[in-house]
Amino acid sequence: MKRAHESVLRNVAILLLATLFVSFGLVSGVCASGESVQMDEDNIQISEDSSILSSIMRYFGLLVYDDQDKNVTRWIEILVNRSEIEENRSYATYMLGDSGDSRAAKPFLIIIEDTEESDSLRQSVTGNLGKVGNKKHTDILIEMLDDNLLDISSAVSLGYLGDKKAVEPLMNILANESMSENMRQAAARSLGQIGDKRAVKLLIECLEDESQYIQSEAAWALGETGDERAIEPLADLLDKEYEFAVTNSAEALNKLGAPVEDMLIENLDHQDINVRKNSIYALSSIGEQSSYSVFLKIAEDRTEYEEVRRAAISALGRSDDDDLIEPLTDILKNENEKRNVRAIVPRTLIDIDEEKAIKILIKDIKIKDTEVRASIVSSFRKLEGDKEKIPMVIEPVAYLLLNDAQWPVRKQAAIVMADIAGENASGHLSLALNDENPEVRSIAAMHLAYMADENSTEHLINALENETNKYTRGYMTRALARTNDSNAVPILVQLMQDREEYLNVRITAAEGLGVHKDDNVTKALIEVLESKDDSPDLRRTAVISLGNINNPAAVNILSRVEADRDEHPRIRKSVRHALENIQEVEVS
Amino acid sequence: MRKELLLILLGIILVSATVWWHYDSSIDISITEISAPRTLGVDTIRTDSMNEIEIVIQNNETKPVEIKLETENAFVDANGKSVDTFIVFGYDGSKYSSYTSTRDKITLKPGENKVTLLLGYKVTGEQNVQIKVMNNEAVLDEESFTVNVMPPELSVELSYDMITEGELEIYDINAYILNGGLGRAENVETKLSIIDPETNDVRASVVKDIVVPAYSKSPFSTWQSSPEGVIELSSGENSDDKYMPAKAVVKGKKGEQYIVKLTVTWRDQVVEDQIIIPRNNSESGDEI
Repeated sequence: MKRAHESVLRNVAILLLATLFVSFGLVSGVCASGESVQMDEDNIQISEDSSILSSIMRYFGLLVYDDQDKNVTRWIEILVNRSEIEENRSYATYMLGDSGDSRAAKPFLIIIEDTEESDSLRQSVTGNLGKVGNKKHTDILIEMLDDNLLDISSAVSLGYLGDKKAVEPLMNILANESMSENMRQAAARSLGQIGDKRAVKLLIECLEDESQYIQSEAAWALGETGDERAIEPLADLLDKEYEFAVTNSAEALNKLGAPVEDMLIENLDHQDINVRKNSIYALSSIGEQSSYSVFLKIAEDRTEYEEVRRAAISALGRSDDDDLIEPLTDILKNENEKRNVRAIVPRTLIDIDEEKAIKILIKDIKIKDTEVRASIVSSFRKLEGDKEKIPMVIEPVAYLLLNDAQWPVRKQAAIVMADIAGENASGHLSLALNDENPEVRSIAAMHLAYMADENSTEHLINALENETNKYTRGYMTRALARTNDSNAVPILVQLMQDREEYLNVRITAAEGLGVHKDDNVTKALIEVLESKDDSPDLRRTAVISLGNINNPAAVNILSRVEADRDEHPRIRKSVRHALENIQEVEVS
Repeated sequence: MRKELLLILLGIILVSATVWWHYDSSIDISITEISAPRTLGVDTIRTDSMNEIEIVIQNNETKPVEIKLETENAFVDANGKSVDTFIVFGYDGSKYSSYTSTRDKITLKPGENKVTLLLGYKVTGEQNVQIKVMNNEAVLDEESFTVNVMPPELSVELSYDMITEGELEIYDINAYILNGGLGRAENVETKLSIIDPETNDVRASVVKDIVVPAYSKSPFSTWQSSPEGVIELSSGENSDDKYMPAKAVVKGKKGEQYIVKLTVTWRDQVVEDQIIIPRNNSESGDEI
């Protein structure tokens, strides 16, 4: 604790010193050069290269962004490591883009140019280049607008880059109706991000495009341009059928300072229910507080269509006005109300005030209607990550998981329990493995697989004795394998060897055995590999597991299979990998 | 005149050089090994299929050489016709990262090259596979071997579970198709029928196309939570429950029995089984 205080004090002192140096440096730099200090990228580049100021700035930056710095380095390492799985490399790309750190630009360019990299990774990297790049990259991205693979990502990236040089090429794309809808959408959005007035006329024309997706992107983009010429055409879009065209137009009009709220409230009386519904969404998206009383009226109006009322109730969730709780609770409790209208209320209550909502919902958790009761349980998923509120609902949800008469409610309870209770859910989910409904059992098993809790081993073994559903058995086996419990080993061996068993279960069991450095496991895996009249997929999985176990006792049989030219080549290739693994371990 | 002769001579040299280059078989490239299982299961080309061969090609030239692999009977369609197949690359221990058609050229680096070719057979029986390494029109090397393509071996299993809800007995029908062979059975026409034993009338039935991979067991129901067939017997009124998504549903009175029949057809293989539900009248609670 003391050390932490010292560290904080030291950092504060360094920060103050650095601030003084920076202020001094800025003043002297400006005086010396006579240039103004602007936060655009080129100027930063000049100052970084020019004086002592740059080293101070760099130090200051490193101090403040120390954690980010480490993260960026780590993400770059993952991105450039070709032995990493693609999912991780894509995630690293996203994180680097999100960081906006210019150090990512170089590795990004290398991956874009490497045609041996996967298409999806190159697309993802291209789409993020604009977030980390600078004007030097504009030409590269413009050139890639003609690339069949990277065109859309390049159009997206140019928007992030914000260089006006890209306006004309992007306008050409948007104006070209023979281009794909996705490409034109990306061009419209990027034109909005760049915000150049040259694009306004074209974007206005696109509000009447045949594609509703182009319409909505163009509407959004016009809001970014700040050009009042767009007000009238945007207003014409407010009574259209496509929800996003309406909400984007409303948001754009709001940004342009037009009286959009009045227009939308007028549309709440429109004869078309879609227009009424979209107007609610649009009013909600512009966050106009005074609309909530109107929404409540619609929510309570039992002559209104169900869809419109649901939209109004859902929109009320953006408010934090506790006065809304009582009328909404009345709707929830009213057995004569429409089921679908009642079912949307619990989530809205939680959105308005979590604590009050939880108290009300727990009290009403015995509501008769199955779907409404399930919706109450399901609404507790919104509490995910809220350590303070979650304990309030665990007990009632656990009770419903094990006791509710209706399986849809038990199913929701299993999902909620797994989502919010984390590892604490494993005891409750283990008991749910005996549920009479396979979906409830399946969800319990699926989540237990993520929890890898040794305490669930016995429950899983018992449940597997009676389970007949292919998928549920698969999840149960995976959960059992992930317990890493030695008590699970004999069952996994049995599942793998049983030829009457589902193949997915056998393969999952064989995979799961790959972490158990047990001679009996090695022997069982070898037996499977030797059974040439068994599934080749299972035999290959056995090889992979033998490679993971690294037991030298497997070397003989693996070498024999490797030399067998009549063997499936893919099994032989997996054998080579396994032998390499074993040899590496032996050497080390 | 002398100039014209010179031009003609140059033309002849150019054409000869082109022809020589196009049909040049002096490039030192040869197939040194083919690793292939001699028995395969009937299966189409799939990236996760195990049907493949590994060809080791030695390039004794000092520089990379572009070749094409011409194949005969590496992929045979349902009409018995040989079609182009795929070469796969980048095996990471569990899957390949990319592929290309055998119509496309591939580059062999100097030295040993391992090329993996996918095999696929929609017909069963012996197949003579021919592999030619081509450089433009010249055959640099060729090899052939035979594979025996095995069919699936199908069987079926029928059982039921009974639960009681008040005066109702609900029989969930469990049906499975088993494949004990190396061949993958696709488009297995599977029919589940619930038949009145007294009149032989089919009271409800459902037909589905099912895939049964090699050495595996596939349930008739693709839904996680539901059987495809349900029989509800009641001592009073039957329920309004439609038992969705079950498609073959029969509602009757306690004491009644039904024949449940499962028939699977894959090409000329027809397998069927049937059970009586409930197994005996006493099981349904009422003696008759």
